Amino acid sequence: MRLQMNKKRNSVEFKITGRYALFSDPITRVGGEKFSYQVPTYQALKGILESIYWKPTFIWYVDAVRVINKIQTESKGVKPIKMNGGNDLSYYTYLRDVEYQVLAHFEWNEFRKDLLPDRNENKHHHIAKRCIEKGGRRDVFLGTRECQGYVEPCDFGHGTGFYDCYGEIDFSIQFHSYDYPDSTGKDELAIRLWRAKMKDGYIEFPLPKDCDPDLRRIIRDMTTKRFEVNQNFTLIDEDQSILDLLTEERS
Amino acid sequence: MSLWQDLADSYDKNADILSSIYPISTTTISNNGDIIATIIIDGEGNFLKADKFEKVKKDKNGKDSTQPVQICIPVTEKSMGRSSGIAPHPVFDQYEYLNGNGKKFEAYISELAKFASSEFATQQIKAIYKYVAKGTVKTDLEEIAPKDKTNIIFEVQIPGNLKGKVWEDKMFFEAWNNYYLNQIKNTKTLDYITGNYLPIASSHPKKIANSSANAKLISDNDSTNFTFRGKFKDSTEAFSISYEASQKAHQFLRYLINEKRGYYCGEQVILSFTIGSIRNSLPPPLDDTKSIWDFLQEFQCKTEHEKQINLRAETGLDYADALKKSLGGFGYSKTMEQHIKTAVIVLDAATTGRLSITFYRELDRNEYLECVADWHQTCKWNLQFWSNENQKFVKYISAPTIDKIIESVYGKSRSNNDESYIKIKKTARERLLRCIFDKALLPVDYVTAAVRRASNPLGITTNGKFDRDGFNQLLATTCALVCKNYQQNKKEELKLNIELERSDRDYLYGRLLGAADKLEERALKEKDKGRITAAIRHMQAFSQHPFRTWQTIHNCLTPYIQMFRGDFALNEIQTIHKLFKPSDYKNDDPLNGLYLIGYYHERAYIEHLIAEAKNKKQTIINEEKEIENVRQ
Repeated sequence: MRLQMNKKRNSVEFKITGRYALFSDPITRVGGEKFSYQVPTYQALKGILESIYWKPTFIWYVDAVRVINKIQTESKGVKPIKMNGGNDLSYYTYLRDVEYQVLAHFEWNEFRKDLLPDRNENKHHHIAKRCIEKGGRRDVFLGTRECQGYVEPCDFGHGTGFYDCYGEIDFSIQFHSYDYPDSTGKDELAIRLWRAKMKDGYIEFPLPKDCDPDLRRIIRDMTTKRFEVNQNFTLIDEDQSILDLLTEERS
Repeated sequence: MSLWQDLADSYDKNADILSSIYPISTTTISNNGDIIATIIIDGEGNFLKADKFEKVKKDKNGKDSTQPVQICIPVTEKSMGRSSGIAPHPVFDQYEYLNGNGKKFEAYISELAKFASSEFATQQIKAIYKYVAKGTVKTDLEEIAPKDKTNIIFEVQIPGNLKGKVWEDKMFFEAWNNYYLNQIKNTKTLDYITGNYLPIASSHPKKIANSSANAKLISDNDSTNFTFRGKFKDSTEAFSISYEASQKAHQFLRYLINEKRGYYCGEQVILSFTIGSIRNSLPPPLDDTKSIWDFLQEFQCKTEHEKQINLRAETGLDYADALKKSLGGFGYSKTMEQHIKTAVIVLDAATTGRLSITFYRELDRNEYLECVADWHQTCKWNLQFWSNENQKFVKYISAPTIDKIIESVYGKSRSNNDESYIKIKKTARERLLRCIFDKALLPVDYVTAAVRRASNPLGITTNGKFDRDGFNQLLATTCALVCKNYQQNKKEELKLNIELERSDRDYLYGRLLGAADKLEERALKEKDKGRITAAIRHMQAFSQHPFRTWQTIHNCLTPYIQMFRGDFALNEIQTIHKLFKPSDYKNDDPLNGLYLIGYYHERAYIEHLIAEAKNKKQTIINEEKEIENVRQ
């Protein structure tokens, strides 16, 4: 059953594969044992998009993900390092041989009015597509840093997947995403849970603002970092060392 | 598909049964290490007498002479996780908390006072409070002489109330649970398990599996390391679970483990259960086919044919086939609903204090049965078991147990408490479990190791002597593994009986070895029982250089060849030679696992030929006798 996806004007689609993935379940993670969710969280996919291409002007929104390979786990004994030196012993349970097709789009970040001049939809869309073809600007990883992922362009919904005629699987309550102050405008850090359901391999994500508000939990206060010119960053036109380089090259 | 939700749901669905044996807000005490003292009082708090549960002792035969008991006692979150601080249990506690003086007693009595005066307290609780407040526990228990850590429980005899033993009264635990929930009702938070707003759990239960008693599944006390610090300041920011959901999930898990429904190896526990049900109705995944078949008999709608199979240990019965038919067929699925879910969990403790889930699979019941049946169907071989009533080996077709496979790959455990073997066994079990339920490919290194081990028969000894039966078992298990390997890599189903036309070099060399073995075995049976056949002695060299070693073996056979002219084995050797392709025979390359299959097949075939000939002879003798009788 191919989902009829509502693709937006600036949608991007890509395929991500990896040998291992670890989307840690927060319940057991706090004890030190990492146990993966069966499917990626919204935040993990958003993180992948941000590794591929990100500018503070816009926010990525993941529309849907399609699970291609069968969900398999593998657990490994690991020796994570303790803060004060020395090792701990743990069991981490990873997902094995994962492949996902992702459909996402971006919208302007309304809380960065200072970046209004940068809101050129065409430009960002094309750069994003080029980045996907190159496999992403930064390192892509599936959940945790040791699970390297590989990004390739694809046609969302094409090809056969293991769960094509599987029906519906309910993953019950799962972590969905964080709400950071720079995208909500409120000075607080919040998390969101949601009920994950997979139909024939497709998981559709509603927009965060359309998620069930009862499943949102405010953790603590947090403020956005303010970027001020000449306080914590400088414009390249005014940077002395670069100007020196340029005059050198010209002469 | 969430483990915690499944466990909590399963507890809810069976709450009426589970709340009496595993009520929430409780833990258990036992008489394993110490006596349990019982104080019997009346409804007004007056002392009547003292009693005790004896400590479990082992008598001369190593059996328990006293009945081991497990008693539930109500606990608070703080008191459950107590170690060296002062944290009293609500009602039943240790002697040092009840003995009338000291800080511990004061803490205990003030908590009990609050409980007894609350609206939830039953008359029994009020009576207990009245009694303990008197402070006479010390003198009243003088004859029992309890130690500081002895557990003390109460029995309240009220006329008209038959449930004198307070620890058996469901209402007592309900009262405590309601009171405690009332205490924590203002700590509501978003529960990550159910999604509802419920009072938070400040700590989570331990003592889930007996082998790792102090280990917690959910532990939130790490304030010095990297587990959640950074983004979150403390553990309540990282996640929140409601008290009820945590208790229910843990109690259900504890129920499963304590009912011995799993496989235990060191600290590892492997469980499979039906979500929402406490009936033990799933075939245990790691057993061999015959055991699973026996297990399923309880749930079968028996047809006549199946009853017949039950009644005798059927020779040559293909249990794997029968299992597949029955799991897919009528009897089993009709007795249970179709669309229920099952789960397989493996728990392990990497360190004391932390239990972790190393494997979790949620499957449709049909998928579970299909996985099990598939495994047995593809990994089966001719096995045999010793039948005491018939006093001989009975052959049947089945898959070996997981533990037997591990033994064939790694060898046997060196002693009763071989720690490194337990470590190896744990990972091996998990790996093979993945082969069953994830349909992962059987690891090639396992097959190679097993073939190598089977190629060295002189390593299989008991009391220093070569153990033929042990070797046969190892051989059968290895053949099963080779079969499975062939099926998944070369997509070929190897037959369980001999293939007379097959001309693969490894197969034919295996057959040669089998024939030589059988030939000498027969000769030695009559002459020299203890001597090991040349085939066995040279098997290891044979598997590496078959062409060269075969000359050696054949030379050893010369004396026996002259003994048995028309022998089957000898004929077989000649037949096999003809089947070789010319270049194959001279090829001295090492053999792969297929030669073991050839070896086994040839031996079985010759035995079959001998048996056939014997039968024929017998019938001829019988016929002659009949003719004699008719004549007379």
